[in-house]
Amino acid sequence: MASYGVRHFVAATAVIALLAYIWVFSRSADPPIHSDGYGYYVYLPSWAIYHDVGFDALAHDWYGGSYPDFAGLPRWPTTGHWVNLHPMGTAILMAPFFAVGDLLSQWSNLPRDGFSLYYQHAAGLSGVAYLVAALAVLRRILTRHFTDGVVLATLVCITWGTNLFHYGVFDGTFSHVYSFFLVCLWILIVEMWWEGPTWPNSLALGALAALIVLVRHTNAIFLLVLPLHGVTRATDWRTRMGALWERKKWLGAAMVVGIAAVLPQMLLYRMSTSHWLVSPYSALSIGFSFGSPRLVGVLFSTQKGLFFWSPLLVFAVIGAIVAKGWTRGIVWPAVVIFGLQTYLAASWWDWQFGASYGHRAFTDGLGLAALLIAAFFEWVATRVDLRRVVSIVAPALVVLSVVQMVQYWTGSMPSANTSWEQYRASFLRFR
Amino acid sequence: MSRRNATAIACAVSVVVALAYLYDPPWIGGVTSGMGGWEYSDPDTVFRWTNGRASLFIPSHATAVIIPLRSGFPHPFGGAVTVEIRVDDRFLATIALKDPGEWVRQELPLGNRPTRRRFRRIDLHVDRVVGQRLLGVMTGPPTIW
Repeated sequence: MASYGVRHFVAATAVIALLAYIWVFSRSADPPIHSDGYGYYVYLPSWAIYHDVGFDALAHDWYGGSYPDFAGLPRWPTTGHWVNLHPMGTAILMAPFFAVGDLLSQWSNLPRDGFSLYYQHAAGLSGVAYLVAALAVLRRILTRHFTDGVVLATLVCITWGTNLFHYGVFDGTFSHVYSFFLVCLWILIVEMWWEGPTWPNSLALGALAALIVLVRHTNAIFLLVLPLHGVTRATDWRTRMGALWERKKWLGAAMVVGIAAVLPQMLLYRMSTSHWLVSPYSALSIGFSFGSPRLVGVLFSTQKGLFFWSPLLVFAVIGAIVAKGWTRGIVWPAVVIFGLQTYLAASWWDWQFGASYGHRAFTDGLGLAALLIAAFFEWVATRVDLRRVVSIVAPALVVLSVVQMVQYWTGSMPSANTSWEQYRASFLRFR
Repeated sequence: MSRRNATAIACAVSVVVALAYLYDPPWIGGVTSGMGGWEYSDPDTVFRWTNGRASLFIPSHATAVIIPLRSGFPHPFGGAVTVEIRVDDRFLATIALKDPGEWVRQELPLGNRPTRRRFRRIDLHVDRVVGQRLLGVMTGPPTIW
């Protein structure tokens, strides 16, 4: 039964995601390309249709010369050029879907403007596609180390017990589901690379590392999975560094590919701002406040607290403590990256990350959390009484998460700044 | 025939059938792009706002079209708000809207360029937008001959 579920989980999720997508966008006033999704996507029409890397032609054609505030494209103060707050990685991953939307638009005589019907749904459905692809990769990682029952429970929990499904379907043009896909693939490739480095997996390592950084610069912290993979004690660290040095030939090749792949982004920054490395947000005078992180808010608040909105992730915390065998080697990277991710999110000027279901800063790293949730289920599986409790609590938390996601979709739950009173008033209610 | 080959052939046939259908789908006449919902300024006037770019479709048998246009707001740099109109990517006219309160109804001959499609695409390009809603110009329901 569990093996049947594991085998068909990805296909079933694809069907459910497509149905959810149709339901959401047949009743939503917002098109799939909205909010931050606009900034991630706008590279494609600007480059492929307007043949302009500087975003100027599109601004003139659509907005009379200046981008609206929601677009996330301010002018750089010293050069006057447009600078995109959102890096180009998401657009690179969306590009095949954009190409299909572009060809279909020409075929059906729809306007070739980058934002008409097919472009919208090509971009939106690319989120669904990367969600499904990521789950396939995650399933592959999990089936290498866990039983079918544990794998199935983990896949269900990570897909619907967190905000992952939301970021594949409702906000599929945001960067998070793309990052989730890349991080899952990164874990798989890192594991294969440590098992035995080859030219193909070393080059893939470099390309993946670059894409992770290109989709979201702060996600460079996920590259720590490479040196920390398999580290279970402080003394392992030195051995790991030695092992990396022994593989310097492969690592060097990966670095060459990685640096070459991030060069276009650096060139674009140079062209827009006269700097090779820059935070585009400084054009708006916003950024991190590392001295006053909102740690409690980010983790536990009603506004966007990670564990408040996705309480099922407590299983990952317990999993980090009880992990055995292979999973022990994932605990250190997961804990270090989670700590850094929390500190970064809590120090960001808008620690809630605007309108979002749950805290979206953590969606990118759910692949690591999934491994720890699997470790938790594996531990629970050998304890009969605990298994009974978890078999009731886990489905209940998944149902709660799905209900709250649908409340968010239908506007029954505030999109930001949720107070305890608002939460209680709308708890399990659909207006 | 193996199951894999049968699946590949079924997929290929599905793609061809889908493409044949999407070349001239019947629902495209109701598709618009870059346009808001219909609004009423008084019982007799129905309109919708465009963005900086907007597209709509009219039946391909039409020989001429009138698309009522009104700028609603003056041009930020003074002068007329201009709307460039194209049909199936072919330039048709540039209409200058000098008075923000005046509806301009200019008949535009479409020519008789042959098409195998049921609908022609009309693109409007406005040279400025207004406010956070990115308003272009007000358009009324098109009249065709």
